[in-house]
Amino acid sequence: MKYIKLMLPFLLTLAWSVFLNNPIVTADETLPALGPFLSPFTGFWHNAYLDDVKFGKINNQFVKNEATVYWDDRLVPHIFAQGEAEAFYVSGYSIASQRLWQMDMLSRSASGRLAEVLGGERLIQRDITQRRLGMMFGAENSLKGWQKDSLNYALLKAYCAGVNDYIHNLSPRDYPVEYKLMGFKPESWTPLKSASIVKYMAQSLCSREADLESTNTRNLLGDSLFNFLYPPYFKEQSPVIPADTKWSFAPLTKDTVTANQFTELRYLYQRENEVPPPGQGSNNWAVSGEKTQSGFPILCNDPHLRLTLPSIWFENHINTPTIDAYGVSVPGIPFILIGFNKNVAWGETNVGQDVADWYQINWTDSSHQSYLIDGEVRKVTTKIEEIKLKNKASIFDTVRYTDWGPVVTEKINDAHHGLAYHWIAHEIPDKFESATFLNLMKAKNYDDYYNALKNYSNPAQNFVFASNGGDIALTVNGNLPIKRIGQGLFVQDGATSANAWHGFIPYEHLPRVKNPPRGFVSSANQHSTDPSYPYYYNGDFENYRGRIINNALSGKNNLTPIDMMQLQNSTFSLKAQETLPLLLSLLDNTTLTSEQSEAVKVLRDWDFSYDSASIGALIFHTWFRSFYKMTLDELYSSKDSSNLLYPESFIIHNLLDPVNSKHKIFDVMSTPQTETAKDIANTSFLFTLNELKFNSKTAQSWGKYLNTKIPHMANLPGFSSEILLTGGTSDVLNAISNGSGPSWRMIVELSKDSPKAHVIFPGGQSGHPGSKYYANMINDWKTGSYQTAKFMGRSSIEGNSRVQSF
Amino acid sequence: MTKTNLSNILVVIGYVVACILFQTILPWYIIIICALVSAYFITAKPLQKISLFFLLGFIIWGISAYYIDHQSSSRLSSRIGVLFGDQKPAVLIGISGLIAAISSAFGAWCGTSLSTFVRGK
Repeated sequence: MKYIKLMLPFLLTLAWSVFLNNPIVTADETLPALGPFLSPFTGFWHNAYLDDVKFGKINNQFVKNEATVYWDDRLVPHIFAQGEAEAFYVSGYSIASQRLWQMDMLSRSASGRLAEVLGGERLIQRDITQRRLGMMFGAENSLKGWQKDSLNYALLKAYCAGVNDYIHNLSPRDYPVEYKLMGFKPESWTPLKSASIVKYMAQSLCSREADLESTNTRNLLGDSLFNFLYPPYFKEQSPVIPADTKWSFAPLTKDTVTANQFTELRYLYQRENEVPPPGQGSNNWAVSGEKTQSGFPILCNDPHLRLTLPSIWFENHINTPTIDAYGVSVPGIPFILIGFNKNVAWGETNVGQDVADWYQINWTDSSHQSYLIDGEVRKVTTKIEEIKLKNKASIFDTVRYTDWGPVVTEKINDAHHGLAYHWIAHEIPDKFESATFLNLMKAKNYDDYYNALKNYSNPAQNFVFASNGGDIALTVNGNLPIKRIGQGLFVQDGATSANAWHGFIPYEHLPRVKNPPRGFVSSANQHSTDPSYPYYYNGDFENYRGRIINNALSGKNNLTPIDMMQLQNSTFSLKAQETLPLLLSLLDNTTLTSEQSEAVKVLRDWDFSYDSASIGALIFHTWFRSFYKMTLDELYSSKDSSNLLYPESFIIHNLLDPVNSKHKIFDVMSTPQTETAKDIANTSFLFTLNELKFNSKTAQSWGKYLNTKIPHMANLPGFSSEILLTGGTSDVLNAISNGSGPSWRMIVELSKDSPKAHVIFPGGQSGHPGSKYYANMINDWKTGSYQTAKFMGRSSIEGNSRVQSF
Repeated sequence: MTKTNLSNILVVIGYVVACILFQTILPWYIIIICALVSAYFITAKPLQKISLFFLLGFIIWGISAYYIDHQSSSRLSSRIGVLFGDQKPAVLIGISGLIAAISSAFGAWCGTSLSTFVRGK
């Protein structure tokens, strides 16, 4: 009894300790271990207590000459160093101090290592697919190319050293709160992890293709209807390079033979990988000094990416004897991707050209160990991928690599089943592609810009440029494959080597424009060129935003940054302006009820702007979507509807042309009668009002419908923003939709001395949810306000207490 | 003040100081071990000891959490509260204090039992 009395409290105490020291796993979620997590000394409370920056001396072995960081009142680090390597070391240290967990997650997301720390069945499949897509294969290849440029590669290594010194100086109680919540710890940072983040960006920007869906859809619709619904180019388009541009070169090869593609389906192609959602795009433009009030060029850029907290962008300023540049970087990538220096400014939008193709593998047998190309047997190489799981044993997946790329989908024991993925981001680059950005950071004029862009490979971008020397320019830049006509539209036959890409378009032949007579350059993910460009390309292109920019800038003079702010935040919809009158003209007004007539009046009075308070925007949006769906019932009613390609919305504009009013596509398959455009317009209008439960006195506004919210990267509800009432949609310049939107707005007015830059992004500089800099810019972003970037010299920080010295 | 009372006060002060110092470098459950050791040396009735350490644990974590929360304007605790079923920061402070209180009380119970076993008091 005596011993029991002694042991009982010890056993119960032990049980209590074990309970508090382990995560609480429920069917839906895993809660952190309550003991360590709720401790004010080591748990989340401690994170709330931490300063945003530890000012003062930072001990390190790397910086030989003194380097200094001044953190301004927006928490932007201004790094002053004597050497480039030292500057990038400090840059790595600085960004890790604010965004360590985000960098870790971006790298894990790219490399297929999320299930290891987050758990969950959905993530296991995602991890497997990321491995099968060859994300790390591409990252390792990038590294091989980068290492050829030892000077610039050394800067990446310096950056990694900075990140690692920050990590190694952290005690576990100082880990970002997400690590404590999810129960893992940061790993050392490596150049390969930085390369994986480059692949993450490539996947976001240049992995959009629809080969599988196109192949299925052509099989369903037949060639004639397919070609009508999916034209390669809309004549109304206003391409990135002005349509009247004359090309002064002959293409390297211009194969007039259409690519060898399947005319019949071997099987229904089902996609296992995610493709970036529609609506992700960007705007950029530069106007020459002749069109501005100051007489100097103004450059504007707003990349539209998935909106998350922490934000994808991190503002920083790097100053060395050879660099003095300000702008934004992606955590994990050392260089400033969009920014400016004293003399020039630069920015990017995505090039929509298709640089990812699928090849049907011609296996020799059902074991999938070898395959045929031109009748020759080739062996696959295999890689065993270990997918580590949280609180479970690892699982293993065998990925087969062919000459076309990794096999992403296959059914073992089926000799006809297997698709290999050939993606530009798998290629070994000739040079250190990120050096493009380093050279832009140092650029002084157009020639420097021209030379800097030579290094770049992927993801292809429309690089806009302006200098205080008066030049403006835009280059559709990156490795773009030379293709046969039609190549890449559909799944290709991997049995013949003729279906391979024919090399890349030479740098000198890439579409570019410098100082055009119209006085501005612009891009918004539309077609790079008109069809006169000597090289064939296909892809996914936007049809409205580019025209809105070009219309807005044409003929305008005395432009100021305020004009540019208004343009970047414009919610005017050209799609609505072009389409709504056509739809309204088809409405039979005689049969409408008074409430329905009120809705028509709202539409007639609407100014085509997707403002937050607009009611017309919501009615039009819903009506357009209903009209689109009812018109394309051939696709939506198919049993394979999730594996089909849906036409660009611009096709509706073409279909509403009176010559097409009785096109067979309007006929609803499930009804005995033959419908016309007018029937669909009327039916879809009534359907819309019914769906919206339209009442003229209580009608819902666009902003409430849009329900904009900026989620945390891991979708933790408390770490996300609240619902924001915003305007915008994917085809207007303020392209907020589907979780994407302007992730960084920048307006740089160049001048002889120092540029003035107005910037904003939907988040904050800090990645720590307890920081006042975590989401402090969201409100300004929502209202279309900007903050001033402080492009300061070293002398202006002397004596300031917000300084770290290395 | 009796010698016993003085000794008890010194032990309590030692407990508080040790808890605060050790918890910054050692795992959270050091609060249990500190309570165990302190309770071993305190002279009082078992229930009084356990109650005392329950209170001390609550105060140490609760006040620390309150102070941090106040200093940080509840920025992080209000976000964490959402993860715990939309709880207010005050509830998180209370839960933190309660966890420390129970842990400390468990430690004190062990110390008391050990003291009884070894010293018969």
